Amino acid sequence: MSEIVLNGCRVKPLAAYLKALGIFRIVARQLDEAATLCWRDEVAVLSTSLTGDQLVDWFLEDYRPTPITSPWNGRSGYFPSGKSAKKALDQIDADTSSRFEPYRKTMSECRAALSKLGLTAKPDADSTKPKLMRTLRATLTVPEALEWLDAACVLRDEDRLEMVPLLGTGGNDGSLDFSSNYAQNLVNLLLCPPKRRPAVKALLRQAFFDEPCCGLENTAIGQYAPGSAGGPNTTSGFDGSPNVNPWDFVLALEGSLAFSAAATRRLGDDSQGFSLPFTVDPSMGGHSAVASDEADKARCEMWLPTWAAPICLLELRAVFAEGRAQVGGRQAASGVDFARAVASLGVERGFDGFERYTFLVRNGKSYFASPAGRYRIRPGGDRRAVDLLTELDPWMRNSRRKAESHGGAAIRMLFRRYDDAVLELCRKSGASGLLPILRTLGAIQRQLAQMPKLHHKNQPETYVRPIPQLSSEWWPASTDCSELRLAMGLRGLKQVRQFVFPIARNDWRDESRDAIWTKGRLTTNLTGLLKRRFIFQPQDQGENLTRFALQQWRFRSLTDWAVLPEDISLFLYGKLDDALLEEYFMALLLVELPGPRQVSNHHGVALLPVDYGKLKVAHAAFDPRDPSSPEESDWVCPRTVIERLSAGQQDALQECDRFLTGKGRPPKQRGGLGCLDPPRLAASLAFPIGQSFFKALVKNLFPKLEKEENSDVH
Amino acid sequence: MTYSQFFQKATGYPPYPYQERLANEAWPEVLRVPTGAGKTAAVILSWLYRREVLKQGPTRLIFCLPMRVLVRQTIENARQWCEKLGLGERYSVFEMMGGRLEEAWELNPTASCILVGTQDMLLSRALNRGYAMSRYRWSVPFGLLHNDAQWVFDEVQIMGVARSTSVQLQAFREQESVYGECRSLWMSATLQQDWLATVDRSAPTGLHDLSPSDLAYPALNKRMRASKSLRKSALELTKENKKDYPRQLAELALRNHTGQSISLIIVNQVDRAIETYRALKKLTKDRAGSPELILLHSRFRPEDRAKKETLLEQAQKALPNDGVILVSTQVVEAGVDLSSRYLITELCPYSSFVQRLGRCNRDGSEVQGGQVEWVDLKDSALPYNVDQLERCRQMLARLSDVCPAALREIGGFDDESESDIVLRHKDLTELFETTSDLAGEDVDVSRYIREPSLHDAQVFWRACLSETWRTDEGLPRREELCSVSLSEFKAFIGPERPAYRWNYGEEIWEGVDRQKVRPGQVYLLKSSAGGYDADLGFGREHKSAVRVIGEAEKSRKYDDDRLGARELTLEQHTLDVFQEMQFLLERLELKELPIKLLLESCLWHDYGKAHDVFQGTMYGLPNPDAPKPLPLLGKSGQKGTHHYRRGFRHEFASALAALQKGADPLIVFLAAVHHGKIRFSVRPLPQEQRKSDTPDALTIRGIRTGDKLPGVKFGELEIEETILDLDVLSLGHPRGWVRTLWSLVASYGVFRLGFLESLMRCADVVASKKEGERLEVAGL
Repeated sequence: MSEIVLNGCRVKPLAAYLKALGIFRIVARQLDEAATLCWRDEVAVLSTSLTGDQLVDWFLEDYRPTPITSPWNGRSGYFPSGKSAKKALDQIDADTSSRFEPYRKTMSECRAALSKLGLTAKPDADSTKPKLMRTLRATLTVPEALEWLDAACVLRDEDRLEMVPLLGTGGNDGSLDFSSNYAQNLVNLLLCPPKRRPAVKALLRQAFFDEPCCGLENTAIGQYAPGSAGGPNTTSGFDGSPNVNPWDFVLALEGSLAFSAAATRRLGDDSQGFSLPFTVDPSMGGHSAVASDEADKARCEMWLPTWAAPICLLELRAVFAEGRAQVGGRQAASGVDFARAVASLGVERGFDGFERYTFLVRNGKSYFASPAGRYRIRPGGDRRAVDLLTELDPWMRNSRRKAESHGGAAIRMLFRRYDDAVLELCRKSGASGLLPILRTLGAIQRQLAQMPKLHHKNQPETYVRPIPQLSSEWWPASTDCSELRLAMGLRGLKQVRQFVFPIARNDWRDESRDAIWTKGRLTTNLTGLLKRRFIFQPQDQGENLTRFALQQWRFRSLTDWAVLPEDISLFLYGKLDDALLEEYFMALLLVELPGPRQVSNHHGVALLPVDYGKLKVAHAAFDPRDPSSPEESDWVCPRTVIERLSAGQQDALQECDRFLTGKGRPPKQRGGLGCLDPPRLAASLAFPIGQSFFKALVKNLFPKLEKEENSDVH
Repeated sequence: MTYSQFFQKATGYPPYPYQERLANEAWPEVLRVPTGAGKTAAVILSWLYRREVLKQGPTRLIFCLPMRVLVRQTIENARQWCEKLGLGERYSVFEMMGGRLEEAWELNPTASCILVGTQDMLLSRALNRGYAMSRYRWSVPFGLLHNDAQWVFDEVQIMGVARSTSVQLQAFREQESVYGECRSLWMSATLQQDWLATVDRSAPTGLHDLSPSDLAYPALNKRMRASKSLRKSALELTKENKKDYPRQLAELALRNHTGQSISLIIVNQVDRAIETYRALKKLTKDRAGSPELILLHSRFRPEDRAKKETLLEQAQKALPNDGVILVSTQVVEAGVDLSSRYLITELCPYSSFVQRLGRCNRDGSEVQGGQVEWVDLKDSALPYNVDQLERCRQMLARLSDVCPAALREIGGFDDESESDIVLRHKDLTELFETTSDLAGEDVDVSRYIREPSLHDAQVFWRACLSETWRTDEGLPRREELCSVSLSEFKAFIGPERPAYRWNYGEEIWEGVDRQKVRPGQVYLLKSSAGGYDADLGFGREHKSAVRVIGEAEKSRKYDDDRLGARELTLEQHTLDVFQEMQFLLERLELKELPIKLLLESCLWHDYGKAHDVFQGTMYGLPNPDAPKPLPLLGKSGQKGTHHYRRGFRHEFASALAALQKGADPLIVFLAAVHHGKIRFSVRPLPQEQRKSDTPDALTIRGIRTGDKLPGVKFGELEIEETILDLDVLSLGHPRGWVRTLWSLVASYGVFRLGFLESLMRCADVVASKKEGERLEVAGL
């Protein structure tokens, strides 16, 4: 066995990948059953009994081309419109060598089928084409010809043909007929005059080993190698013509047959879309250079595997037939799904990565297979974060399409951002990738909440459920971001969700008057939240929710929230990104609260403005002397304090002072707002703080009091 | 005993010359004999004679028929003949049709038997996707149907796409070779050899036809010369008279009907038959001297249908004064023994037309001959197509007297099958892998079995009142089933009228969507959903509750996974299976069987049960780490216990061990597939990874790398301790799973491999059954 490194066959572009499969298929079928193929550093490595030089000679002398011919296409050479194809077919017909024997046989069988159906022109797509396909499938005798047929299209039932996107629309793309090009290239390469043979050999060496050679040709390569297809800016002039090695085209087409194996595997279900190995619906995430209208026209995505251990053709066929890519117990349906399958090891063991290709409309109406990144398989990687996405699957399945089609461009944009975030998570893995996903989800939920037309349950075509609560495993781990810490604090407020979204019991409640959150400023929303909670009358428990807003820790087992004094300080002085904070808050609203966390520190309380401390303590709803005592109903600062502050009235602070003094707790110094913005100060009261934080505030505000207490204890 | 004696003993008549030739000469591939000339007897008795007297011929005779009615008649006859010949004990006749599937033959690959069934049931099994059976057993009938068997396809002219499938399967068997013989015989009155030519097989050469000596037989002669005149009716079905057509047809029939005779109306669609019947009823209501009316089509439950057939039989024996008018569909084309004086039929494909003509003055007893009138169809050709009708129209223009002899001379039975869906070898190879695809769907083979327009499903009604009916209701008995066309059924079901399908895996009736309804399957309907009338048959318009005739009968099935009601050591069970295989192999007179490997496979097949997880379950140990006592158990006597690792499959462990220890690939394969749950593609169950105790360790079907199987000694086989390694499932492993198994398929071929698989599974199941019985007797 010798190992042949096929430097001309790499994972990019698609033509080069297919070429590797093509060479492998031919060698294993026609020369050496034991041949194997693997990928090393994104380059194909073939093992076979011949050396590289011998292999080149064998291809030139003995390779029998697969009879790839498409009599269902107008320019296939069987009808008057395809003159150059006809010429090529005639030349093959006139040849007597045994290498073209299967080709000639297939051509005559195709002609017989056409004459049986009385077809003298391109068959009509709806009626005669399926009939012709059935006839061909029932009469072609060369197995490879049948494989080509199954690679190009699949008969789903009597009159429904499904085209396989890898081969365009039945072996052609627009006016380019692949089989015709293939035949012309074959004639050019294998039936050429002897003096051209050295050039053909040089071309073959270039195709195999990437050895430099001249004589690349102006012929089409179709969607498989966008970089060689010519067009504006491809060369030093304004416009270049295609620059293609004809072998590349021939061998790539040979390689496309590797995807034909499993036509019958998926004839089961007529209710769902048709699925092909490694082929999924396009997801536009992960493409920086694709506009959304291009996205709509994308044909599909293909995820092409690479593997490091040498495999034989039997194995290749078996795994390509199955094309396993499972996510959450089902087969991947979109590019994002596929990325998840790769990240969660839902693919065949032995693959080490996938090259993602999207078939985009470019260059007029033609399709190009654009590479869209490489996804590696990390067997030891952390899959848990990716697995969490399954929680969203039912909602995505039911609602995403409806939301996208009825929700407008903004929603579509958000979903695209969501896809980007998921793809990024899958490429990098690790829990930190979840937060960007949560942020887009929060934004989507917010957008949906503002679209009452999607909330009518009795109109199932447009009804979109709210995004369901996600498990607490989504909760971000520790963070050094103030905005996120504050958002986490806010999320910890009891029953906070209903004040933000008109949602109850996982359904929309547009009539709810509690949901006060608007598109306005964050400070306005936060004070609105406090005000609403003052007058909120819960039905089940006679609790005043404002207290929860102010002193969350007293009423939950959670001993502390992540909020730090410095966070409050930064917020008060307007040093934080309010929009980001809000976005985080929206995101966290989707997540169940986790269990208790470790107490955080309270350093920096002394640096907080005194007025903040006064207000916070005044709204504490219990005597700060003894935080563990049951709350006193009269320890509630009048709600006018918050109302007036949020209206920008500084004298609200005096009212607060009066309240504290009236309670026998005169604050150590009188307030003066300085540079603080009164509404922002009011809003800051919404962030719940932890016990140690609160104690430090009290100590700071009433140093004497603290001393008394201490002496009491001792 | 000569064949003539043999035949006479069975039937009471001497054989026709062609029947005798069939017994004494090599069987042809094509038998062309008109209806009523005793094809069925010819074939079954000659096979029996060869097996019993000449001691030759394949073990199984598979009689494949296009329609359910034919199955019933053939079964009755075959059983009667066996009985009369005193062979009833040694030759079993099994019925293979929807709702009536006899499966005992699958457990006895050595017993001579006759399988009679519909093309749906038999061909779906031959394609490894048996309808109405557990997916895990698909490969058992597959192996047995393609090895050591003789197929007979009767009434080929109405088989549609199944015809080419049957030829292709024969071609593949010849290409790949099978164990023993496996040949096919196609029969029909109108069959032409070139109908049987496909891309992979040329038209058969051997044709068996009636000879002049046959025709000289008086009884046959009278039939062949039975005169009947043919004329085109003035009535036509057009777009305009569509609504009124049934009434017009009824009037025409009444006009031409004469008392003391049977008139027959054959229409192409069940709906039209029902409407015509209704119109007749209306026209004859309160009219003295009206003929008796009978409606017969395929959408009845057997009970109601039998009532109608009895009426018809009685009428034939003692005609009522005013005679009988029978309204029917294609269902009378084959198999209904009926002779009318006057026949009106709608235009249909020519070969069907000839069959229909056979229902008029069948035995030549009408003195003035029969009268046939045909109605042209200008509007709807369904279920046929326009070209078929046009060809028939042209043929009819040339005919006036249509006695069978005249028709024989004229010939002209063109291939009217429209189907160009042909099974190819690569399709068959793909069908050998029975693991469902990743969407949980299976390949739908119905396109190779019947034309979509003729797809049928079986339905039955139950009250479904109890809360637990979904698990309590058993499978239906034959009496309950009513066949319905798939399109009609799809239109019938909906949110208010749900349909349910038996999930063989979960053992529960599960609701089905309209899109998921498949041909050939059995569906349960709630009796409150309506949809059936005893006089008119299945129909959407019948709203009242349907009378339930079934009892909740517990499902008849064997699950080889759960057999073993008594505790038994692993070694004992292994040796029992080994012995059973020896016993099977001694009685199989087949050449080239890999006997040594089969026996060795028996020793390996349950080695995976030595796995800690399995032993933990056997001994009822809840804690995975508890030390496992000895001896190793093969059966525990406990039912319904779950392994502590979800989805654990011992046979996967057996096969992995065999593969790692370098056993022959056939042993690996047979060990893996012996429960039908592990095949070529092995993947974790959807939830297996997430729900396992250590989600980071790769677990596939309950097996992890590093799991240990202790060393064992089973008979002559000694296996050292094995540490299992899932690495062999990785692509490119030199002794990889996929590479090993698919190379095996390439070297054996799917038919032979399928047969070996059947043998392995039979040996295992039968041994387990015997163990149960033995221990029961011993009072253990």
